[in-house]
Amino acid sequence: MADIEITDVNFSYQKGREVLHQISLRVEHGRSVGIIGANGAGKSTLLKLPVGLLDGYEGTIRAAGQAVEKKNLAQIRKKVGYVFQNPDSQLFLPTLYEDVAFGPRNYGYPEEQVRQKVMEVLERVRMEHLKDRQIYRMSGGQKKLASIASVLSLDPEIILLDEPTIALDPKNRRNIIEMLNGMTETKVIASHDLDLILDTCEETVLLAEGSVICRGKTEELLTDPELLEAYDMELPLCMQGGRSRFRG
Amino acid sequence: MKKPDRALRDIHTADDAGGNGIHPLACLLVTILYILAVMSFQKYNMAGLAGMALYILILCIWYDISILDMLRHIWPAFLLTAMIGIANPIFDSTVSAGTLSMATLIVKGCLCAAAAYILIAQTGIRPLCSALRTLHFPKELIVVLLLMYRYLTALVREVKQMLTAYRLRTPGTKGLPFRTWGSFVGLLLLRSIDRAEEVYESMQLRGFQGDFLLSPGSYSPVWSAVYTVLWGIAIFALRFFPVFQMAEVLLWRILK
Repeated sequence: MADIEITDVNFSYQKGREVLHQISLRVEHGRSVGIIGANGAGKSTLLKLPVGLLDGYEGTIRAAGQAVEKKNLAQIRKKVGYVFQNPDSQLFLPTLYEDVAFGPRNYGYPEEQVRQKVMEVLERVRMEHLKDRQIYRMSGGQKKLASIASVLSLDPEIILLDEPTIALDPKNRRNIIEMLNGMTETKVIASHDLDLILDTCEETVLLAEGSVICRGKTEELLTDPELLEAYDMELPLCMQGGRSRFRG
Repeated sequence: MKKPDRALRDIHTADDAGGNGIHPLACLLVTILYILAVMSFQKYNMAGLAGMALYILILCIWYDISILDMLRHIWPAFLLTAMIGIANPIFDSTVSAGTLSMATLIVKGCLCAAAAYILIAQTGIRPLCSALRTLHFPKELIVVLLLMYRYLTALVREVKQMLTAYRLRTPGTKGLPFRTWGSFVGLLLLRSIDRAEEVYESMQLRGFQGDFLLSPGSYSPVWSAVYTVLWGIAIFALRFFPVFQMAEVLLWRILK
């Protein structure tokens, strides 16, 4: 069974203005899938559906083997982690430790297990030395890693990431990419950063105006300049050899 | 420091507070006792109330709390009590008695607000809420308190960003002109609602179901008990005995 199964989904925030139109998407266990598209294509909206952040859609959605319905949301959200585009929206407790511990505590882990889990996750993102650091004193890159850690603390089977490298410097971007590549969980990454998608995803889905235009292997899809240009995108920077002065 | 920065600093200071080894429940109980003692003074007993200010002074020195900062934070309590007591000089038996009762009311309000301010500075907001839970305060009330506190940060950040963006495009103007207040506040509301929604979504995604589970923290039970008992005795003495008068008599006897 697929980890995420979206079938014939239509969604609109306002009546008469459809944001997603007849979307069908299947993400198999352990796969890493990128969602690309121009601004307003519906990437973030699509990403919010499997965790039940948006309701009132038409069609069926299943995540982690369960239908996305109100009664299943607690169980689904334990198995499906969602990393927000803006880490300031995700991190709301004063220290890194407290924030990462928030999820496990809510799911009733004993305090000793919470501590163990938090330390394990912080080690995974190489932030154990910052456990008592106040969130507001962290850099953008640290906040991003912290927001991923806060999701990992619940041992999710699936992770949905909305623009994970937005506003990061090259070094922090590289850290995130390395971390994503080291993760064995099923991943769905929505991003404008086509280099990131190329580095981390085996498959890519191209969205435009709320519809799936095509889906295929990342290397094939992202090396097709005509296709990308037709949907207001460009080749990944690493493939624009002639355009960049600093690339060979 | 600009106002939004100062507000953010204050919020973060309250976040960083605590860690003095005293259980927040002990601090809370002492503060409640102090407030009850202050409120129980007669409306003309200014001398007694002056003695109660010792508690505030000692704690300010102990926790290195700036008295000026504290006064800046409690001035709304001053205004409120002044407004409540403003009619006292007219309706009391004599003008001087009315003025005295108004002054007593203001001092009472300020002392209580200062005690609450010190409590937050001593414990931090989350340990304080945890202590309130121990005293079986309604869960909903505490969650609202914590959420308000969280959303406050989001709101102040939005104010800061919007003000900075406005100032950068209007060099030479001082403050926000009255005609832009409407759109500024409207936009601020919309933006802070968006941010608050995202924060709430993030909480829901991590299993939040209407109850903040707070870390137990590490406190010294002995130190907490000593703190409660000593302050309990001190507040009782300040309330029921003319401590200053007794000290004065004692001093005279020693000097003689």
